[in-house]
Amino acid sequence: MVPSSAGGAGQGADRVARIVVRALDGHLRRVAATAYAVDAEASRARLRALHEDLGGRRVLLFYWIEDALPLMLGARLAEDLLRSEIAFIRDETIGGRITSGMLERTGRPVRDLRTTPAAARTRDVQDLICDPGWLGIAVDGRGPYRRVGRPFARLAARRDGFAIPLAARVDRAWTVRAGATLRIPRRGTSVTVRFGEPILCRSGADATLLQLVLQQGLDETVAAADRALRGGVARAATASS
Amino acid sequence: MAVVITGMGCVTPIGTGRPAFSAALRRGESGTRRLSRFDPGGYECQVAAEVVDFRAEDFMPLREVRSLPRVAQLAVAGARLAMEDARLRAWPDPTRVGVLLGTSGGSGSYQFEQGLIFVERGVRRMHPSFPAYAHNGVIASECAIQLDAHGPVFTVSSACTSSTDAIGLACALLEAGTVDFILAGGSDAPLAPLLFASFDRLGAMARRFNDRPEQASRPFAADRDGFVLGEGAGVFVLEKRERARERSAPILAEIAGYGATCDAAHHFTQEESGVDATRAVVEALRQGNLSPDDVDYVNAHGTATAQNDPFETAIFHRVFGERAPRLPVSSTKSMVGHLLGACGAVELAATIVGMHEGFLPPTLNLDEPDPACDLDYVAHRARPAQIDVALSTSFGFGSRNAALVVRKPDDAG
Amino acid sequence: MPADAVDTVVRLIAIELEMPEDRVRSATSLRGELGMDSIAAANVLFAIEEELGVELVLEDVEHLDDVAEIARVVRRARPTTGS
Repeated sequence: MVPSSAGGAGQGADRVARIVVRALDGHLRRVAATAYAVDAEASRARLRALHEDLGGRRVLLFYWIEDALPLMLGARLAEDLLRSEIAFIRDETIGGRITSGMLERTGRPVRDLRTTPAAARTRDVQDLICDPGWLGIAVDGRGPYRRVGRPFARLAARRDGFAIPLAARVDRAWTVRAGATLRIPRRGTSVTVRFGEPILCRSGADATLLQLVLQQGLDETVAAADRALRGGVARAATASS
Repeated sequence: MAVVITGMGCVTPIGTGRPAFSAALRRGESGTRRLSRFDPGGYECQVAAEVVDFRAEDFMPLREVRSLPRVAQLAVAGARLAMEDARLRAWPDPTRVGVLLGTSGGSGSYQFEQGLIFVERGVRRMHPSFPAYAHNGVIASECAIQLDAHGPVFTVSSACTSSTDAIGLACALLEAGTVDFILAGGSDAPLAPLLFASFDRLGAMARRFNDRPEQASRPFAADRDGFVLGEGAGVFVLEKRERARERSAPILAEIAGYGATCDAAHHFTQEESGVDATRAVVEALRQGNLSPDDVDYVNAHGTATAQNDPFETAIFHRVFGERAPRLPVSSTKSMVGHLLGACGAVELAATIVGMHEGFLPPTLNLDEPDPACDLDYVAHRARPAQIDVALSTSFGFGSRNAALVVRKPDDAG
Repeated sequence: MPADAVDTVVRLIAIELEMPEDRVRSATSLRGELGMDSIAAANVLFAIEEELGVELVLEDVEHLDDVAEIARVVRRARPTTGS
């Protein structure tokens, strides 16, 4: 076993994260009772179709950290929206610890991506590259906000599979900046989860072009999800009036 | 893509034909002058970019000159010059030749003039051929008639992206094997009172430089004031690379990729996030299997309106990342004005001239850039440079976006 | 085979980072000086394991920042089972 991060600070952060996770979990449970899922059936159908096409391939679902908690909410409202075979990557940022903590509570597998020591990180990167299944990762967990970094593009290329942009958008949320930007859904929110077009990532591909394509793919998926959300909110408003 | 450009013809406010156009680009000449086509008094903007060294009779029989709308005359002249440039006296097989030209205003000016005649003097004083000339398709069909093209012939009308779209679609036709040659590009002759007055009323055109017309078009400048309306045509001969090699044709450039998208938002303004606009560029790069790092020069849409220039700058930042400040970007509209439907073609022509002859066309009148415009815009003077890959962008009314990527041919010649 | 291990490591790092071998040899910090990030490091480890048919043991390794340290890891390597 490669030594993990030096005891004290890591353990302290873990403790804080656990407390926050418990609180957020309870909060999301209450929000889920009053939340409205937009296009849930379409999203589930889309995921099924993607899984049919790409089930046996290496897939990297990637999303903005601000969509992580809305994604948890979406998963609560639609049981099979996040299949149990998707393993989410836990990095050592606050946002990463919180979201992976919440995922673990749902029984989903989590993969570590440690920061230090360098040898541990390298081994974790190797494991992610080789993982034959579907992985999920927040690409801007370490910042900059809503930017796909070059290291992620290189990781995606090296993995030699498909990257699928994922957006989870809510219309009522608190925005918290704690290193990363997190959006915490509020009661009465609408939520929509959208899977974008799979992007083929080939080993040896030009990283700059791939970075641009991944950025564009996620920007578009988020824009489309926001549009669907506005439409869904409008429909919900007319339905209830 | 395996499509190449083997000939270029242009009729512009800074010169007609590739040699004159190239020399003017190098010298950084301005084609914006005091409006002379009709009385400029009464308008806030009194400058325009007119074509001055063009005689239609040099390119077509006198009979045609009298009856054809100016937009069609410019198109035919551009097409003839392109064929000459491509060393084509006649087509090997006219049934495999197409014409695909873009225009925004089309024969609108002609329709307006004839409309006035109709109202003031009755139908008998109108042009008898009015129905044949009053549709925008006339610019493509007139080229087909005069130049013997028996294949697909159409006009594309998508506002300021018209000629870029025409060129992109032409590539698709060539790739599909429908034709062997296509005359592709665009033409626009919008200098007539109706359209000019409408733009003037919107305050969209530069108003503060009527006493210094050559300085009126100021893309990316802090004191830019709007665009300068212009007229002109740019036409290219497009063919597949293998065919060009077979006939030992001079290859000016390869078309690497084309992207076209729509914001589906507003008619006049671009959608803030720039997602769809960025995608047009990304698509064009992807088609050519090119990295943003491969691009050596960008010919921007750069209209000099308040909204476009910072918006476009933001897109280049998004696409080119950290490299953006070191990547030369210039706007040919600073010299030739805004040619509406023909701007894509004429600006591509400027890009290809720069690539072929080793210099960066400048952005004139950039005395002080807008703080939101922080790139290297090749201010004032052309600069020698090796351009292997270039990007040309256009944005049009209706929130359209189009991008072309061209590259130097391997066997440069 | 101490010399060989260093040669192999230098060669594979040079290929991954697209740099000449003497630059790799003379660098004091692969991360700081040559900009080798965790993905490049992962690729180098993959390449070593593949070429030598071994499994690298990274126990007690903290840094992976210089050629000598990586070469030590290579010498400790176990042959891959079933190779």
